[in-house]
Amino acid sequence: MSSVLEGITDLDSLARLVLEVDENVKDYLDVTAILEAMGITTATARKYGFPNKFELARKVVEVIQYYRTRGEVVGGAKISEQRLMLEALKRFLFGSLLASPWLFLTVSYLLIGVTLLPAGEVTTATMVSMASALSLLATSGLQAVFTRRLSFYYYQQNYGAARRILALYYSLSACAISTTALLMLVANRILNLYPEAWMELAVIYFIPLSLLWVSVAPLYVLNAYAPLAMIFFFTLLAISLSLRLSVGISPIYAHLYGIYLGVVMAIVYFLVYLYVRERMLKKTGLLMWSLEPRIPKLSYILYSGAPYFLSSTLYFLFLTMDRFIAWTASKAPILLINTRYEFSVNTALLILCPVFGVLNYYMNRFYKMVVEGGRLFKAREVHSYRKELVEIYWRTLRAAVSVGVAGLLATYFLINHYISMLPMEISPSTLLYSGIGNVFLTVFLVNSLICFYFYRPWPSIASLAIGLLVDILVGFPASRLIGVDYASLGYLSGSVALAVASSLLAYKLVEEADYSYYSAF
Amino acid sequence: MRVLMLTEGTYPYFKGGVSTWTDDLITNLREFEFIVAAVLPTPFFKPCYNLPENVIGLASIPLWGTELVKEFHGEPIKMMIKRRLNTKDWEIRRQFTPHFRRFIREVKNGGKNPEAVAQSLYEMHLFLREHDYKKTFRSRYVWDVIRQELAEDPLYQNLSVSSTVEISRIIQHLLRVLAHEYPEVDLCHSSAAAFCGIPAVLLKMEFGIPYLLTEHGIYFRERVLDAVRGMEGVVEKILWMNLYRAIVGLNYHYADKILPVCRFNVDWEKEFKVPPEKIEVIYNGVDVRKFRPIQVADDAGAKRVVVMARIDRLKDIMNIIDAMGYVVDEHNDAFCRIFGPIEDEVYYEQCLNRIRELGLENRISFMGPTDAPEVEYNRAMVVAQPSLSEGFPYTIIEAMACGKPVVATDVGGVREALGECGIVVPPRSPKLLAEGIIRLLDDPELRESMGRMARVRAVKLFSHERFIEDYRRVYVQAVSERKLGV
Repeated sequence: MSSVLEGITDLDSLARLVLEVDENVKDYLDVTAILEAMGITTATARKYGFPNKFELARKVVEVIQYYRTRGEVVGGAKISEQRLMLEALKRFLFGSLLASPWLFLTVSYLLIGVTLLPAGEVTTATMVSMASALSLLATSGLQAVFTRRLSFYYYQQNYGAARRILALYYSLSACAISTTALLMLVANRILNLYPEAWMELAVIYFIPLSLLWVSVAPLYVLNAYAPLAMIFFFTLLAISLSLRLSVGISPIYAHLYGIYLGVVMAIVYFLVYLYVRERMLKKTGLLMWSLEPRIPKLSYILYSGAPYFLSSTLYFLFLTMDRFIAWTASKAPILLINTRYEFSVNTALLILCPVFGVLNYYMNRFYKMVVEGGRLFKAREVHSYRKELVEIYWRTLRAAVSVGVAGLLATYFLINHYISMLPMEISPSTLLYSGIGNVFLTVFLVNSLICFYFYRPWPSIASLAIGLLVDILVGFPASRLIGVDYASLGYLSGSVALAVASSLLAYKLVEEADYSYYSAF
Repeated sequence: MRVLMLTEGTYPYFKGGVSTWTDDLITNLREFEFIVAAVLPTPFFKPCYNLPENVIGLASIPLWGTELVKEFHGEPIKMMIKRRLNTKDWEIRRQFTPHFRRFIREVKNGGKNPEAVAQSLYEMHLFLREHDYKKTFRSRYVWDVIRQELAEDPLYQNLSVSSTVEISRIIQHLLRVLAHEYPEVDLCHSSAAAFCGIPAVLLKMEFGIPYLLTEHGIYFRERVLDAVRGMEGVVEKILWMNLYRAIVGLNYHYADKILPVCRFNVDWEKEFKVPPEKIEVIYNGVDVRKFRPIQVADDAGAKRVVVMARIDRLKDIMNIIDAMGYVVDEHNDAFCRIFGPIEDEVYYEQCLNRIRELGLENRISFMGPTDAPEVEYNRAMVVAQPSLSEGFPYTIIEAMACGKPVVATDVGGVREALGECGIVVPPRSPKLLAEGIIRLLDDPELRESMGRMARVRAVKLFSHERFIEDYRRVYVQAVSERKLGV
């Protein structure tokens, strides 16, 4: 005989055996189930001298009481400091890569004068910048709505549904892009804002840029930071080579081809990735169910995504509002770019790259603490749990702001030192105000990530609305009364308002993280 | 006559014994119209059965996988928005939370008062029919109830914060069955004493519709075995087991008739204080014309061991793998074919690793599901069943009907099914399982006689006609008694 019960002749050994299977057995019914799984039936129970298995289990429970060890072990083995450092470094690098689009674009322009868009005289620059800002505004809302759903299906391994959502996203984005392009042309013709050729140029850039934002957004769902960085790197490389190798392509086409290359790379990467994942899942071919690529009606998708649409659109509106204010400072046409202002605020964005790295590290700690940290506290100790989270929240804010300030000082002094060597003109005051504004923006980003983590888009929306209002109320008069460069004061004031409002609202969520997490669905 | 058939994680989306049973029953009770309400993990599963013509409706109740509870139900969005706007905080506080509190209190003590459990569920159901589910459960008032009831309870305050939150979130998902409306039918029939039985309880409370409950595996027992694997602390486990106990007790209390598939289940039901007169065993039936001894041409005489089981821990595939190690030592030309879908991929990988460790790559094969099980049984020299838990397994009675000798673990209704026509060994005892297989491989006469007796027993006791006739009788009786006001 070689049953697991071989040699087990007394209740004591039986109890030990049950505890080996499950040290948390609750009562005789639990024990009966485990005994049955070990092969003890009523017939076997009779051999032990009990009328049935339930009576045997009752007796085993009594014995188990002697062995029951009180208390629970919480927390795992201590992780080495070296591993923690490596983890922090990894998070920092990945977070910084998240900012790779504008990191590459700005650094590339600062160093070799190549960016996604051609620099040129004011006409081209105005139209190209307008195309760039409008492309962000036209696509950001849909990105927020659909990448949420995409991530939902992707993590449930329903790749068929993920593909359908992606198809819907591409189709609606294409509609939004073409409609906006058409509106740009029609509005210009009716209102006679710019010469037609100017607006056509804007549309020529608006379409590929919009497609680029649409196509790279799903990569964020996969946390595919490295492919994201590679796409921007190769796009810029293609543009740079086309321009430098004099292959007979005009600068406009060099940029357009480069951008389209990025679009194709992003779409192909994502579709291939989904396909490969799906093939891997189907590889065994023996699964007992098959998944249907079902997605809800569009009305449900739009309804549940509407707050995120609003939040994302407001965010990009906030980021571009001071530029629009600066543009409107020119006499005619109504919007004419101020290249000095543009370069200055673009350069100020650089300080966000290390901040993203720090955010990635700290926010991951925060999320981990919300879920896993809760295991270290009993329900009756919920106040200590909340206190711990509030502490991590403040630490995150301090770290983000410190790195932001350090980045700002470094950028400001470097730019001032090498200003004469740069391929463009930069306004130190705009750089400074925008930079400070970006430091405050990091506070909003922390708060916003917390709100989204807890499925609460409305605090973000409210803060953005306040920030936007302050931006306009300060930026507009400042740009008119002091000078165009001071439109950035509006951005700075708006960021301060945004930081304060979002902190007040997000703090409430952190303060009651147990409830916030419970209701995050 | 219209029947609401309630399933959980089975028909028509997943293959398996319960699904086979449901399909068989519905297909053969043609005079009844069925509406199938299937509780599912997510809404993304494709039905893997062709629904017979007498199924006039299929409603899936996904517990996870949707952002808005009814987003796949075809309801116009404006209805949903209206319901959301109509859901006021004060209504949640006054009209919902008292019942939710009562439910949580009952759950805490294992549902000792099933009528109180039912009343609280019914009141919550009434509220959720008119109000928004998501807004209600996200409410601070609902969380306050949970927090107060758990964090201020002398026992449950020892739960970790994470466990409290996670359990609350899971309860929110499990109670999604309350957000749906169910049709007024003549009879409800649930295939498990689980959450899928709740609609039957609600309909009984609202319209007095009779409720029949068939138990395949014992739901509570299976949850205990799940808990052994997945739970971190004593208190957490106590709460879960109390929740399951409350739901099982509720089903037992409100079912007019409990129809276990074997006598083994009856012991458990009695332990839950179910009056014996409510219990009637109806064994599963097998189509003895389809499952019969047939000549299979290829590799006759091969020492083939056939296992029909999904790849899952409860089926203890590891047991047969280890057993084959011993079998191959004695019969180096013996081999095993395992037919069944993969339910647990991690476990499947573990099985493959074990096969590699034992060097049995050429001896054991996973074949996936088969559309012709009768052929595979007939190809077998021996049919083995290594499971840890069973109700009244089809695989055993099908093999018996095919006239094949069976070696099986002594779980659930296996012993009742086999009688003297097979070899029964304790579960988790690979060596004994192997000894049974070797004994049959060694002895052609024993194989022959056991197979012959098994066929006779299957035809006599587990015929399909008897199975269908029993259910037909119980259905008619339940509905007539209601009409007569018995």
